[in-house]
Amino acid sequence: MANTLKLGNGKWATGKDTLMSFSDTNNNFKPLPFDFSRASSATVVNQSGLIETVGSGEPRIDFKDNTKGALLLEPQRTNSFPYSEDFTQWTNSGLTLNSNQTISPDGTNNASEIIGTGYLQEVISLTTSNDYVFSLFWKKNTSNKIKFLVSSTGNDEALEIDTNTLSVLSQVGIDNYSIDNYGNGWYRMSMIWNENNTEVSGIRVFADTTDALSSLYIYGAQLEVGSYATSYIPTSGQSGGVTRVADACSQTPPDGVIGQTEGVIYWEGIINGIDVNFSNIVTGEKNTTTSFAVLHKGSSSQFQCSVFDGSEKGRCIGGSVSVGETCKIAYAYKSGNFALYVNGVSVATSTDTWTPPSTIDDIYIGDTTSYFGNKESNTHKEVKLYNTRLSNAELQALTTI
Amino acid sequence: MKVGKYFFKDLATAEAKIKALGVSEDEDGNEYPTHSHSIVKLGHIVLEQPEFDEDGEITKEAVLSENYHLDVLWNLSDSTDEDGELIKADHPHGWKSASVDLDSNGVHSFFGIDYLANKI
Repeated sequence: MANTLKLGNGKWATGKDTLMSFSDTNNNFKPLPFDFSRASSATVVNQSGLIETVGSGEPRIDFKDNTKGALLLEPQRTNSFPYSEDFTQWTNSGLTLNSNQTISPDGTNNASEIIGTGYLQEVISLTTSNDYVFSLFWKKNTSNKIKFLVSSTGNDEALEIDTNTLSVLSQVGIDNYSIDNYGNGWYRMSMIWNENNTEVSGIRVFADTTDALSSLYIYGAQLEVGSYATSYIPTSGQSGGVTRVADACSQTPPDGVIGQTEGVIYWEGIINGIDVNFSNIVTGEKNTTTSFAVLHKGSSSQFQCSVFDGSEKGRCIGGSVSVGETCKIAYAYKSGNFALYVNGVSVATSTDTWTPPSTIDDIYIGDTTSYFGNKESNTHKEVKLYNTRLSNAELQALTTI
Repeated sequence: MKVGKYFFKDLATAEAKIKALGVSEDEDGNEYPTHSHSIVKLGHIVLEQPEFDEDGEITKEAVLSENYHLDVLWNLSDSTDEDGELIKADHPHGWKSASVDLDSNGVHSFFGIDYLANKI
């Protein structure tokens, strides 16, 4: 069961504009570098569990909730808040605000403290029909509550959480929320809503609105268009926001690495959010003449895999994918014998005849274009290629969690 | 990498310029870019911030630009000719006339990329 390409599984070798995969076919160990690009800086949770900024072209190996690390590939996003950390620049309505009061998730003493029943507000132009995500890192001091509110012309959107139990105390007009544990008492809370108006709105954060002595630490506010929060993008005075551009990762490996008439594509990772119906996980040539595509189907939270020979063949759809949970999938392709295994279970098969007229030369991970699907934020723990179709028993063993 | 800042009379004009950079269609008819530039649609940027009363209610509306603004992180670099002369990267065809030359980073930035140091 020798693979022809393997990326990750705790063995990461990165450099500027490159990311190393390996092949140990026939016990002949050789490096297979991926081209990596991202034209801007970005942040990632490093091995110490701290948010760290990495420069353009540097692949991000993310260690959040994962000691082995995983490749983080995200779409382009903009943090629209002009001041993500300097809350003295926000409108302060009745709060005591103390800057630099405790160690933030980036490991420096730059988190702010808010005390009282009032709120901080940042004013932002919102566009009707857009999904928005407001996220903020917070750490409980004495406050038993945290509340987000979007002050709108029509109905407000709001979310209030118990800081002790993380349970929802109240929610109005929102579509979703999430609370991620960043360690050392820090959480990142995200509130997602679909905006009903094109208007200038006040985005507000409160501690406990019923306790004048309630104290909460805050850091890293972010407002982005989308239906899930992506990695933190710091801002420091840009009224139009700061943009992290998309990551891209691809390779044209030597002959023999990509199985041309049969093979297996293995992926282990996490779907971080769903904005689009189809998102690219691992894809081949950008054509439907001869290629393959392993996609996440957002509308049904399943995986969809296919090959092409002028038309789509061997389509296998299945598995039930929860955002934020690790999945292992393997798509086996061979004319007349296709199968998709997800977390140790065969979820779909196909007996289509597949006659590829040309070759598959390229492999893309989390592709940025929308040729087969679109780009989503996915955490890639391991990618492997095999140039033979493994047995179903091997597929089951490979994907068992 | 080069950074450019642009404004157009409206969204439709801006989108036509973006499309001219190169798009293709997948088999479902969805357009996707064939270029590797990063484009941010800033829209009608705020020229004057709104004002608020003590309750956080708006007392004076924001003043927005009548033009539609874009920031672009071009996947372009300066080069040298055979005589070693520097050839500066330039705006793609049709973009220069819409460009804005600022002496600051403006209202928007690409993370970690200084506009003034990377201005096209």
